[in-house]
Amino acid sequence: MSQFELRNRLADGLRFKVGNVHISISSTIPEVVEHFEALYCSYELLDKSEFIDFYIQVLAPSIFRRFFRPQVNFSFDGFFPFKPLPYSQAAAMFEWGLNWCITTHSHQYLMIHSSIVEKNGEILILPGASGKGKSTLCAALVCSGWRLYSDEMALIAIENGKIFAVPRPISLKNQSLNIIQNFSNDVVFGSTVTNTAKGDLAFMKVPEQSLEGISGDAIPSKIIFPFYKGKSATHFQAVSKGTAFMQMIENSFNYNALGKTGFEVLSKIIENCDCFNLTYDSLEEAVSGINRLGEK
Amino acid sequence: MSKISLVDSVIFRLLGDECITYLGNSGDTHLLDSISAAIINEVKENPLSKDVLFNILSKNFESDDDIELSLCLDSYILELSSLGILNMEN
Repeated sequence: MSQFELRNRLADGLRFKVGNVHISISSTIPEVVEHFEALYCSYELLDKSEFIDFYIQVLAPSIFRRFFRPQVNFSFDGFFPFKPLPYSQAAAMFEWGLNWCITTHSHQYLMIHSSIVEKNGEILILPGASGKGKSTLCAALVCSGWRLYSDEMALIAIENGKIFAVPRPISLKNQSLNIIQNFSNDVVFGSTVTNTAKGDLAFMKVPEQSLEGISGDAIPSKIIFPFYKGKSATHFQAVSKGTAFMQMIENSFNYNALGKTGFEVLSKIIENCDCFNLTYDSLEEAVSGINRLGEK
Repeated sequence: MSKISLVDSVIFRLLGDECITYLGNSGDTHLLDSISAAIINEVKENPLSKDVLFNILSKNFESDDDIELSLCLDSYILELSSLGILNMEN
């Protein structure tokens, strides 16, 4: 799709799917057009007859705010859940807003704040709060032949415990940007967004292999809790399933909202998984350690 | 003699030698150790007196000190009751 066509479709409402999630995004902001051109060009588009889960708009709040300290607003179904952000953060606001849409409206899943990757049918869950090194490790794994299911959240179907892929661009912040650029020559980033509440960040493009057949679902077999610690040796430590269960609750968006169902779904996942804490500094060592775990 | 039973709304899973419980009345989830797991597993279907429970656990945990085990069991029953996991039935 040419940039001209993309710009027109975004102005009108671009409909596309990520895994099972159907999205319509409207925006005339150049940063959003560039974001989609760089990072979303391989996603499957939807026609107007398809059901849409989330109608999103990323727009300037008023003509005045396009010129004086320009700002951007995020709207979902005509509702504005957030205060405006600086105009230059429009693309990041779309990604953060979409995270919010999914995590507040997808209670057919148990949702865990985690990265998910897959290789040879084996699914790894990498749970962790922001700043633990989860996305950096996820990006390195994706650059090393693992397929991205999701950088931000595990969507676990409550009826069967299967994980659904939502492979969206990977959000990397501050020094992680250089680390991943040095880790792989093949990586593609969108524009860097500076001075956000989380520092400087950019989104890494999802390799096309992760988008082929992404509606598939799978049962996870390992849970690894990553923790980046500068100047530390790479160390895997087995975690009891009970402790892993409690750590998964801490990283869940909706365990409490699901009640007994959440308990039963999480029990099934934990019973099926080997669980580890991973402390790392070197990405190469962490990735090769995870590869070795996967071979066992 | 009073009998110890699992509260109806409690569900649990044994994970290795630990136990995770979910309390339907409060929505709380607890991670419990191996002794708690053994107690819950023994009373899950039928209420048991403390003496019967004591005999079962003393075999499972191969305790040499009956007094210490009895005090320990009292303490566990009290704790699990206060969490809303066990009932004491008369």
